[in-house]
Amino acid sequence: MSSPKRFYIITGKGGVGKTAAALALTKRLNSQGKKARYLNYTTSSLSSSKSDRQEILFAKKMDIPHVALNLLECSQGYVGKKMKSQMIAKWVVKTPFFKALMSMLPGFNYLIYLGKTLELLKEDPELIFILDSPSSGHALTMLEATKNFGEIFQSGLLFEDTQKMIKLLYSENFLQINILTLPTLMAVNEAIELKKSLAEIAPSETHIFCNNSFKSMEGVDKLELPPFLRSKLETERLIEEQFGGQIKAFIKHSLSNQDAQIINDLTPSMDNLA
Amino acid sequence: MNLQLKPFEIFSGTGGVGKTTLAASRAVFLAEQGHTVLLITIDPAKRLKEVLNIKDEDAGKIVRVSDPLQDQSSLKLDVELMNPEETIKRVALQNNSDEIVNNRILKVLSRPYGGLNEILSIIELQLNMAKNKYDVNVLDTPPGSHFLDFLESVEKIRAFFDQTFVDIFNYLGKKVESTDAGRGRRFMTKIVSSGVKKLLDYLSKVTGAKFVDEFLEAIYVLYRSKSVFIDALNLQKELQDSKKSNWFLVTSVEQNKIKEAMELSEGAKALLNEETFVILNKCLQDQIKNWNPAPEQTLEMAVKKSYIEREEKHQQILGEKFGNILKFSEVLKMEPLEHVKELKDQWRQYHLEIT
Repeated sequence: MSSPKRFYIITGKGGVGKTAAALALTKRLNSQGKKARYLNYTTSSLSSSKSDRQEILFAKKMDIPHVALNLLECSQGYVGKKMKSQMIAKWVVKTPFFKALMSMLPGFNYLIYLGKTLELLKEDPELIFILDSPSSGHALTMLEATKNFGEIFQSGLLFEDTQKMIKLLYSENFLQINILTLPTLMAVNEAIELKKSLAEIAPSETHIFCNNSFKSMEGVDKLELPPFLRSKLETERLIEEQFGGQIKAFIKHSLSNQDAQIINDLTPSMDNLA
Repeated sequence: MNLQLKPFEIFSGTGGVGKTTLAASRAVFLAEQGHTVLLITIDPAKRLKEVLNIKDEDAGKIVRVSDPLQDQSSLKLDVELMNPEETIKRVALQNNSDEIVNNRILKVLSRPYGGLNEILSIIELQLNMAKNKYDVNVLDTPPGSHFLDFLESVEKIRAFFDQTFVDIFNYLGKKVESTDAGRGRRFMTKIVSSGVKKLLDYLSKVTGAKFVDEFLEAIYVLYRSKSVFIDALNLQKELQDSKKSNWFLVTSVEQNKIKEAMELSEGAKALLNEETFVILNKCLQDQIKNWNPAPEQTLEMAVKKSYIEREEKHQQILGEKFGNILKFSEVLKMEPLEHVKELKDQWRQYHLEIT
């Protein structure tokens, strides 16, 4: 395996297994002695008092190193840095107008999150983040935010920050976007479309992986399968035939119905994603 | 169970459970029964266009799809893929003013992935509802927590269009001459006490004064369209009224996401009506029942066990929480359209009056 990137974004359509793959990849990299951290942007609202999300609780339970970023803290930290005063920042993020404005601007929220992520990566050159990213469309909102807000601000300190972010994000060997998909026509089409849209934002290393692959299970060729499973297998083969060139790897289906076991099943095949 | 016809039907659920396909099949089913139906997707992934063969450039418009199942039937269905840019144009039309469309900042924000999707969806729905043109409006929503974002948009709109802010930005935006000194002073007090004045000073430090002017202009323009946004709050009442809307929480046997689905229904409780239907999609029970591998076929047995366990677990947990579970069998076909066709027929079982 070549030396890993600094920042992995795991995205794709809902339900493709982003969380499990992100956790498994984090686990795998750590087992290879890397300082990898599972990352999740916990809330999409400044006023939300929601505690840790399911995913973070789960990472804790599975003893997978993780970082949970929270919008209120990140915003306050950023404003504080810009104003050179944490007191001002504390006041700003509590004003009703700032709150109301932020809640109208999900793109800006993502910008704050990304900014904090990049700052942490800059501070610690050993650190690797694996972001359990929002699903397709919202991942685009997140990555387009650097560009959109650069355009909105045009000049000044905030503009400069967006440019610095773009520069770092798309620097060599820094970012890899892993799009997960499933062996169905709709899911694969969405992944290919997402890859195209991501390339329009900025050239980045982006790969498509097909999760839940039934045909990749050991011994599946020798199985005596009922018609419904044969037709699943058949669909998968057709997909491989048609789109195989665009899918970097197939990740085998786990027979387990327990989240922890699914992640353990996935972990060995995660070298493909790094 | 017998589903009643209501003007709104909303499909929500975690990602990848088949919301879009189910919503499309539902719309086709209702259209076949002779109802006028509008199918809207506010999911930015817009999978509907693939299912029903709609072109990208038609996003944001209501498109009449003739023969949606491509089987030479006379069936017609109206479909709209939500597009924030088009919604902004519609707001401008309502307001008889182009300023909201031409504002530089709002233009960037209302791009398809600018982030305003969920909020503008509410506006789009309200504008459609006001026309009162369809017997049923079927909505396909964004996955998981983004669905909550969509529902919370109502609260966001309410907070943002707070009258105090509107007054302040009207005043700042118009740059009122200080002829009416008394009024000006009153407003200055309001601006200072609301903190907006200080916030703008801070903003100017990090963006420059020119941007602050543009920002003021953008907010001012937005506030001039206040009535359109505030009208949209009425939509919430309609959606909460169980006489007016059917909510479907879609789950799938394929995924271990019961917890997430439950969280979703908890999170949305305050906003939904009490009568939510749960759909368990991609059931394989009938197929599995007829599969009897020999005991020594250990891998086959493991595969069978895995599928049975998965389905039983879903049924049990969902059954405890929700009385009404609508089951849909997995469609084992390649083409999305085939899925719509088969699922459409599966809706029949939940309409007792249809034979």
